[in-house]
Amino acid sequence: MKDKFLKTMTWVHLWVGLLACWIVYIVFYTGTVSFFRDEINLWNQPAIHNIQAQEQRIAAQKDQLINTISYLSQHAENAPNWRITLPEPRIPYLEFGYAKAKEPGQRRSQYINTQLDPNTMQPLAPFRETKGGAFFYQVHYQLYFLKAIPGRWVVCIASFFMLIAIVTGIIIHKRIFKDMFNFKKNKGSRAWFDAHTLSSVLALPFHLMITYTGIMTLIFMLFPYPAQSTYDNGVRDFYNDTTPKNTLTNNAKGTAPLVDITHILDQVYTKWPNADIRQVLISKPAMAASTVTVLVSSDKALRDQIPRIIFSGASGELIAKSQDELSNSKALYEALNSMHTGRFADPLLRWLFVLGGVAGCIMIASSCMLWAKRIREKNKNTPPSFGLKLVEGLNLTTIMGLPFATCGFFIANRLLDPMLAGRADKEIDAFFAAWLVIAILALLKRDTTQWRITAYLNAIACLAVPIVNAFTTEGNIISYALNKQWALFIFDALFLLSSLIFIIQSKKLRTVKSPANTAKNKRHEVSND
Amino acid sequence: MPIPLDKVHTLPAFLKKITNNYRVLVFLRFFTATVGGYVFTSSAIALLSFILALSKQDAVYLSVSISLVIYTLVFLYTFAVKSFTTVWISILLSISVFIGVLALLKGEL
Repeated sequence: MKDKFLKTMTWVHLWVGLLACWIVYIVFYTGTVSFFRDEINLWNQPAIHNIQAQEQRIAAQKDQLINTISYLSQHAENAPNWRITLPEPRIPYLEFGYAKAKEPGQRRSQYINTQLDPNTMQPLAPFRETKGGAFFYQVHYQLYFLKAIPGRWVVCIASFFMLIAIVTGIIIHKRIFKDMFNFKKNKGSRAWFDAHTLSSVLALPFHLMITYTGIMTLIFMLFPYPAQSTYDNGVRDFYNDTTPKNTLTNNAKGTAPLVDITHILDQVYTKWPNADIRQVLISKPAMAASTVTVLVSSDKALRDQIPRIIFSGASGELIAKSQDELSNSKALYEALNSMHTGRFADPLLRWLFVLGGVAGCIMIASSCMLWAKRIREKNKNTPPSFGLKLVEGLNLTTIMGLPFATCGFFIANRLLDPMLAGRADKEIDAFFAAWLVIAILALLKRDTTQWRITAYLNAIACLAVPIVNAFTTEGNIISYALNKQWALFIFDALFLLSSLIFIIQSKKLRTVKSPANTAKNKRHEVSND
Repeated sequence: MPIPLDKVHTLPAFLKKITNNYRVLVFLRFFTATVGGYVFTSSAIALLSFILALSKQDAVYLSVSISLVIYTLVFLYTFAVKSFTTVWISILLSISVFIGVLALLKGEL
């Protein structure tokens, strides 16, 4: 009876895992990369490479806001919205701008932005058009070629299967230990099995947490029903109820001059003496119904919604603010969400998150490899079925294709003309073109030779990223180290490290013809970036 | 590796022939686990958020936060229980009870 239960759970683990593994691998890979979203944005934008770190970042915020707002009130008085985004430790520049009036059919109005060096308050060299880290972030939660909502559903369902696979994996672990002794003879898949078990067990709390909280970030799309049963207009009403908004002066008519911003900032600093202001949003600046929203960093708190205060732009009076103390339920929800994004994490914790993500990639990659190897061992004397070929092809395409595509993306960022129109999309085209190359190679053959060729290709591509960077920008990996530009230095160094790992992988694949011993090398290939 | 699934005994003979095919058995379980589990969870948390003695917001936050625990348990339950008849009857019955009670409380019945 108990044995039958374990057998059933093993079956669920195998098949649910297989069904979701490639999508989940893409999600884990891009998610891990997204922990470096700000660093990727930095690397992709050479104009901001040489901004000196501010000595008094928070102390300078008040003057920065006064300056930019006085500029905006002279030059964009009638714009529907203004937005000022202040520098953060990982985002070194100041950006401010105004929205253009919405054209018919436009969902969001377009912003005209200016970027400043916060030290000198002078405009920076023109930015190149790039999606940067936002691209990986977007693929992470809604994939790419699908429309947004179907894409998110696919990610949600695949992640739920992943959650099931993790829980069944924990249930059957006893069986795994038993199998470890039974399968001793089965050396071919043994190394893959060890890689799978080790990476799963070592980072188990992380895998469980990140998968659960990942689905939590899209939970109102997956389960809108609680909001629908309690609110008349469902999720929309729920959002209105939970987000502070202007209910006092939103119906005020006519024009009114914007109040002196110092009057508003004084109130912010009275409430939070050490406030680290993230962003200031001003809507309808010249109208009586105008609002000034001040968003403040939540620091190390496990909060997803950024603390904010809304003031009336006409009188400077406080209209609404986010809760200071969260109720237990909201605290639970906010904690789950913020644990996923890890925005609160300091560098050490951020690196732990990244290591957890890498372990997740290894766990998934080794399980798809294990699946294919076991089937091949079992049916040694019969020609491989279509299903097996499909699994092997998808393995090669996703595992070796994603790092190669990532390199294509970054090389395109450096080689494309900075002023080229539609350049952000061309970078993404380069990503998918590079991926297609690996997919075509996987379509031709899926044997050891093919793995070796793709490992070489990846090694060359990873090596090319810092080299191309050195030739196309003012800095290079050595100057980064000398000038203490650690984010850029680590970025380049990670590519060199990945290149080395791919070289070792290809060497091992050549010397050891038996596919059995390739496991140890392939464990690391996901560490690219 | 085939999954050890029990055959369905409670159906008329001509249906048994179809449903006791291994692939159909697997499909039925999988369908019940994903779709049945989804509807079960949805109706359960819809009811839960309505009857919880908390503010509206908090009831919603709490019920969505535990939704995935419920979904996971129902999913595993569908595969773990020997008799498929027990599985689908219990899930269908609970869904009707959840929706029925919710409709009754909201005065829609």
